[in-house]
Amino acid sequence: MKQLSIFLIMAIVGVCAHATTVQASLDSAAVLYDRHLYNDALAAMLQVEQQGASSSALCYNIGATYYRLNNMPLAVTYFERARLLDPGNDDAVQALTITRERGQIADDAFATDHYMIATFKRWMFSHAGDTYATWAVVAFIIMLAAVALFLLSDRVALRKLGFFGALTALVACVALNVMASTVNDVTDHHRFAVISQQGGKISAAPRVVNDSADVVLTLKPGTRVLLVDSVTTDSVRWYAIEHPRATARRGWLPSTAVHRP
Amino acid sequence: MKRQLLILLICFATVATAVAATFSASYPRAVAAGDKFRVAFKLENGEGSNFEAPEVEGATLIFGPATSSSYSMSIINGKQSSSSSMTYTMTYKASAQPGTISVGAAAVTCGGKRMTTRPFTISVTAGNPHGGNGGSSSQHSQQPPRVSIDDFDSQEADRGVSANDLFVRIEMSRPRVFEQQPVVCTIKLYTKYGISEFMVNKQPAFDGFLIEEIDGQPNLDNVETYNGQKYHVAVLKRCILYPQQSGQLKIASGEYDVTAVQFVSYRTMFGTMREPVEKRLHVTSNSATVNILPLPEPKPASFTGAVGKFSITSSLKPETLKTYSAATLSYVITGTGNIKYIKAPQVTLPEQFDAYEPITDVDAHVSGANVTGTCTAGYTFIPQFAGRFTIPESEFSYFDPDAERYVTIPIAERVLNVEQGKGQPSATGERGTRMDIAGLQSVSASQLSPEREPWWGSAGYWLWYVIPLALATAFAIYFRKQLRLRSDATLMRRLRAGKVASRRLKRATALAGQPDKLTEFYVELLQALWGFMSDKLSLPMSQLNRDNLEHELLSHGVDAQLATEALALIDECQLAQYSPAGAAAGQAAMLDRAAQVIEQINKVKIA
Repeated sequence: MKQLSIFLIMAIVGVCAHATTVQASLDSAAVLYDRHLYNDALAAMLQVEQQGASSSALCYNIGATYYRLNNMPLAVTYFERARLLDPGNDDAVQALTITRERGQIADDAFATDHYMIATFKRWMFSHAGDTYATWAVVAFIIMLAAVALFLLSDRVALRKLGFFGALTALVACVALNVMASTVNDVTDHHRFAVISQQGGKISAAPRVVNDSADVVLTLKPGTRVLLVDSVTTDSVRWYAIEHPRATARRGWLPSTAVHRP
Repeated sequence: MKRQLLILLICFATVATAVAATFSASYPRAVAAGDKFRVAFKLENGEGSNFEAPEVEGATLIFGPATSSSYSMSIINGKQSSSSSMTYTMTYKASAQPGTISVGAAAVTCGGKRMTTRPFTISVTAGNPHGGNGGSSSQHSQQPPRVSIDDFDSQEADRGVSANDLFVRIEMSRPRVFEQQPVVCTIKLYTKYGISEFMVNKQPAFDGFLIEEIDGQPNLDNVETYNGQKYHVAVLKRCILYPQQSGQLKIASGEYDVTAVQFVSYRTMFGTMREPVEKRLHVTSNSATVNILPLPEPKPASFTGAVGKFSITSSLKPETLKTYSAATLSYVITGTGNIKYIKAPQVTLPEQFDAYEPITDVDAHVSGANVTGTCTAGYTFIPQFAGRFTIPESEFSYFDPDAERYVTIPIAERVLNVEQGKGQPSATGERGTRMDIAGLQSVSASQLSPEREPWWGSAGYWLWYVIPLALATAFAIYFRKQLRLRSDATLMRRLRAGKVASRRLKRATALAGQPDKLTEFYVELLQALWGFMSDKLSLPMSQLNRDNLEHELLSHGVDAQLATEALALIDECQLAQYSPAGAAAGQAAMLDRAAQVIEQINKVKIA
């Protein structure tokens, strides 16, 4: 019993010490950033990130530091990650726009959707999956209340209200669950990447580009691309990408040429 | 009487004369040989129909009958009068030989009555060689008078439209220019005739040029003299051409469909009259050639393609710089030349500045054969640090085609003093958009998680469905059970028997101890007991009595001793009710016994 107590105390102390160290790193990163020592601030933030801890705000801060260091591809990558973790992070959304504008990076990888579909998707992905989950639970409780109203009320008008209210709430609950699932699925299993500072030449096949004829498209670093396939040849992982501006719409990039948000 | 009849007849005759229809012909007494003339047949004060043209010898019908009608009404001194007329006009061409033209009678039906004109003759005299609108073919073979825009007689339809009278011309402001040096191209329509329709079949091709169209003047408002002759002129197209390659560049011809308006003149008794005649023509413009000279080599390093004559100035807004506040350094290039295609000069801003892509604004207009204007290049930046910074000196070069040499204008070094400003590195620029990202977001270690764990789909999430659903189901079951119970009156009475008996016992307790209400006490106590038995055994009070109570209690599973006690209690209460003397002392004991009996029987589950 005594040994167990000592173990528990040590574990708690260890966790607290770790949390204190992480907080100290984050605080020092903020101070370094304010003093325009961006490289040092970045190192502190990446150190925290390498410990496996992450959040939308941390990703945004790393992206902002890369932005200050004029590394637009990595800035875009981290801003995208911040947005994926929290679609309601307005700073990240705005920073993406500003970074693309400043770096003159086109964002047309997903420009193939119809206007209405694109608008709906934009609206749907402007909220986190858990936000839709909360709304779905509220809709479910409203549905139960409406069913109770339908069953218990003596007045016809209230019974009608209960019936149609329950039906509407049920539809809303199902739809919100589907949206929550979709948003979470896209966030967790997204298929896009960002062209790195080095990459940008999209080849026709998964092999090293030797001839300019092999290049089907050259994309600016920081451009978002849709990953559709991957192969490993000679220990190098290659991603097949699709882009509306590519002649054949599909090309290949080594994994080193892209960043995954 | 005779006098009055005469006046009436005169008046009637006057009125009859005023309204009588007349049909007459008007014609020239003599015409020149080969000349055109008109004969008008006029029907007055009547509506005509079925006009029959006269037979004519010695002239050829060209056109007619052209019908016109008129109506007039006047009121003079309160007296109203009106007149109407219809005129049938025939156009003839006299024979080429002098002689006589015989015109027969023309006829028309008016008010069901056929009216005719008298036949008449017209003398044909020898043709007038200076008339211009007639004459023999031998006269046409002579040199025709030159077409003039001021003389409609010269624009007669009999003559063809020559290439000198209507043509489209491409004019270049310069025959020889350097690459990128603007040259103004004007395409003009020159015509001595009026134009009723104009269509472009093929525009001239400007291969090898960048083209910028400027406003034309498509109306024939201007009069110009070309090769000593006056023309109406319309500017069909006006554009500035920027040659993109050296050598001889040719502007291919354009093709147009033009409808010119000529006139046919007639001599009538009222004088010479003209009718327009349209003539459709296919016109091809000339082609133009411009000799493009290459820009001489070597070109200065700072040369970015400016050709012309320029000057450059710079300005800074605001003059006082502060950190995190946007500022714009502007270079204004003013001059004549290819101002629209000038690239912004290269400016090296300090690395400590957040610099944005330069924004170029061009304001150019054509002045004579040149393009003049200003090109403003704005470099927006946000200083991130306070201090003294230097924008190094640079150059702006252009090629002067008149001097045929490059001119380099030095741009002096500019020193910028940046003061420490307030706020965070985020600002709104002149473009109205947010120009910098927001500051860092606050992050605490407790907010960090190893990996994203969405609430949706977790056990906690589904519990939010399960728990409310379970609660709702339980509530529904309970509620339905309550409803069922309430609907069974017998069961409800049985279940509530204990409560009802307790209330009656309370009333009896209230009566206890009052000597004057001893009878009421026992009545209440007995009612409590009998009422309880009735509710509990589900038997009406009328069917319960001393004799069957024990049997009923036993049959419903009540213990025999308890049943005996209940009967004994009822017997004692009835006895005390009717013999109150001596019963006052046992009220409390009676109440306790009754309460015990009721409680114990109530505990028994009645089948």
